[in-house]
Amino acid sequence: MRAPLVYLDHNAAAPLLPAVRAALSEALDAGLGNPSSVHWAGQRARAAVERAREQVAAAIGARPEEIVFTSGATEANALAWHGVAADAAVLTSRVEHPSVMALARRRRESGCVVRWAGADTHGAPVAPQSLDAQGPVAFLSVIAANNELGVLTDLAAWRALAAAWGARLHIDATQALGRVQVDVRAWGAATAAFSAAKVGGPAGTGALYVRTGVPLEPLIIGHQEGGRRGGSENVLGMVGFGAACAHAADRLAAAASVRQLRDRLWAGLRAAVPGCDRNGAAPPVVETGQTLNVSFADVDGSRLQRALDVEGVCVATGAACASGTVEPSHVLLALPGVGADVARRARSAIRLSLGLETTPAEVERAVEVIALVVKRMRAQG
Amino acid sequence: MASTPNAVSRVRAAMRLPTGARVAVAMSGGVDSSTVAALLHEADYEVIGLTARLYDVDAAEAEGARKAGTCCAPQDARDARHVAGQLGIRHYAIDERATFAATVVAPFLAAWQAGATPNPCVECNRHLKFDRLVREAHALGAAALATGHYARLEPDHDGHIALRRADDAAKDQSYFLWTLPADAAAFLRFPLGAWTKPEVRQHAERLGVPVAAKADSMDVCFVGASTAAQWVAKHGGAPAGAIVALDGTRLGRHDNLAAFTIGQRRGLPIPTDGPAAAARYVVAKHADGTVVVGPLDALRVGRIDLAGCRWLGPVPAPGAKLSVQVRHRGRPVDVVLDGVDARVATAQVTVLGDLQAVAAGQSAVLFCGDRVVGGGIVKDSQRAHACAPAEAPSPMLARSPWRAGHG
Repeated sequence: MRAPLVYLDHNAAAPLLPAVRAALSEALDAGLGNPSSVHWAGQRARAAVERAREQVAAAIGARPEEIVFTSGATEANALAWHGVAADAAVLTSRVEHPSVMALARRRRESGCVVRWAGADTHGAPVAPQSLDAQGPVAFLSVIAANNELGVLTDLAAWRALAAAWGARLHIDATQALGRVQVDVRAWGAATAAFSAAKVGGPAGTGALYVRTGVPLEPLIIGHQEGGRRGGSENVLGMVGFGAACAHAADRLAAAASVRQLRDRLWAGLRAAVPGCDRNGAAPPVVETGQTLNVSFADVDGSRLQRALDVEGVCVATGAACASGTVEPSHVLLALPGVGADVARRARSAIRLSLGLETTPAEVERAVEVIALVVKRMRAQG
Repeated sequence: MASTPNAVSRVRAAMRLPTGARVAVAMSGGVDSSTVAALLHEADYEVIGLTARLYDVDAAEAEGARKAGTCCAPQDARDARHVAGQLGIRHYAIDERATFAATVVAPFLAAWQAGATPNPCVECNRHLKFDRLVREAHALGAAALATGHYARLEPDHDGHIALRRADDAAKDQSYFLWTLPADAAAFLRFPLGAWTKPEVRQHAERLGVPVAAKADSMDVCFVGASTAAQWVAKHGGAPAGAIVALDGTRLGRHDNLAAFTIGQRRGLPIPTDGPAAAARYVVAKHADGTVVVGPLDALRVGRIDLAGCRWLGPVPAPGAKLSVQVRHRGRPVDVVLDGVDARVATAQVTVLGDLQAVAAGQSAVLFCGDRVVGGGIVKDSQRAHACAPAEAPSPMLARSPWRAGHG
């Protein structure tokens, strides 16, 4: 009998919360109809959707009518880019999530100006000076908490820049929700993207916050979501996302203990594995406290990921590699100060991300297995 | 149809490992390696599927590759993942595009440009399966790497791991495997070596392998639906040059050296009367682009020089009577080993039987009975001086030697 999985990839998908499972189960049993229908079944569905909207809004400091449900954060990012600032010149950073990097590339290919902000040594995107000689742009898109490093962006600087330029600020807050206090109003965001799967909700559901008064052109035409996102509502996804947001405070309350476990994981690895370096987000920088990005000298990160998986330890490499093509992480490559070492570091990196459900036993097992596997791989050369 | 317990015991016998052992399987997405994974899973091994991503294809090439049913294209990687998902085993796609480009594709192009006839499947086995996938399997803590090759790999009475022809002569792929290093020989397993193709298809269906009905792979995978000549022309081209007779008489010109194969008769751009009438076969190709044509008799080979030799056990002594095979599905022909220099990995053989159309760059594999003794790359060959009339070349000669099957 194999040992249970040690799951250290919470930044990719957090386990479904028991409270979410209960809410989904209740919704399944309730015989909900289409929220657009006038009959009772439709009305019950409408009530469930609007309750979920309130729960999501409450978790991020927004009003319910400012929430547009989407199929996930990727769609929410795309909706903001297209819906708020189609064809506009944009400023974004070199450490964005791949969904935003792809939008920026597409924008550049269509002939628009795309400017790039670099990262500091921790991996946080640095807002350029407002008197930047290159001049202002109308749309700023920045990540709030980095998915690979956990480092938090100084959003006040980005807010100030947007104000100085009269630009709209979009914040990809996918990895911030449930990790840090989210307050879209204090952030000065025109729009902000969120995902249910990162906070123990069902995958395939997300939301775009759209500040009241910001006009939004839909990607999908239809009367649903106030005409901002057409198509019959994903009622179960919304109910699950709402339930997960209702427990976002619990997640925040547990953040300190998650951070302790993460620090114990790093201390354990440093003691047990020679030649390991932490990438970005090093203390005392502000970060989410659940992510650890480590490079192991002379070890291929993607091979290490596979070898750990075979031993029952789930981790991520820097970037997606679903099709078997592995490019070193653009986030790690954007880190300054690593010099010529940067490509080697990026190739030998894995990302460990913890969460609410992570146990001390999992952390101990992870250290043990990583030490064993790294030693084996180094012995084989 | 063989019963399930019989299949299980056959598989376990081939694996020589206790049940529960961790075993990696090189999965190409085809029926053979998929069935190996299913059989090993059924036989209670901890199976991990590995698929090497070898090259990128554009849409047109992908379509051609799909029609040609070649291995290791992106669709095949998806098929492998699908099979693994249905079996409930772990599966990883590994990015080996750089390795494949450097060790298989670039030498393939260079060989055609230099007038040689390469066998990329041999190089893919050497560099990808015997090296990269073996390393990966070791890193994953596997006790063995199994593949879907039709060949037998078994301990001999002397303790050496012997590589032998498959029981299914029609599917035998031992020709492609002669570069097998000793450490890889001890680590690899070919569970299908004692199976026939119809048996494999039966068990694929019995085990619900999703690709049970998929066509066998043929041709060189990355060339897709085009010919080698077309592929070479598109990827840098091969020299143009003169077509000359054996005595140097100029008969014509061509614009792509890669369009010619030793033994080729059809499609030569030379007059069919006059001095060319008797010289209808390509008998030699040179790096400067020159194609030499001559009579059938000039294709007969009496002696072969081999370079890059590998020996799968003790190096045989000069004078050893062996047989040589110079192409997949080629008939083995008796030879005598004249000389061996293990230090520089060369060998020379004298051909006793009738052997035609041996091109530089081809693999020449030496057998003792059904056992692979070793092999090398043909560096040069000399004409046979026997006066006996040569037989007409087999239909295979009209095709490139690499064209049928892969390994």
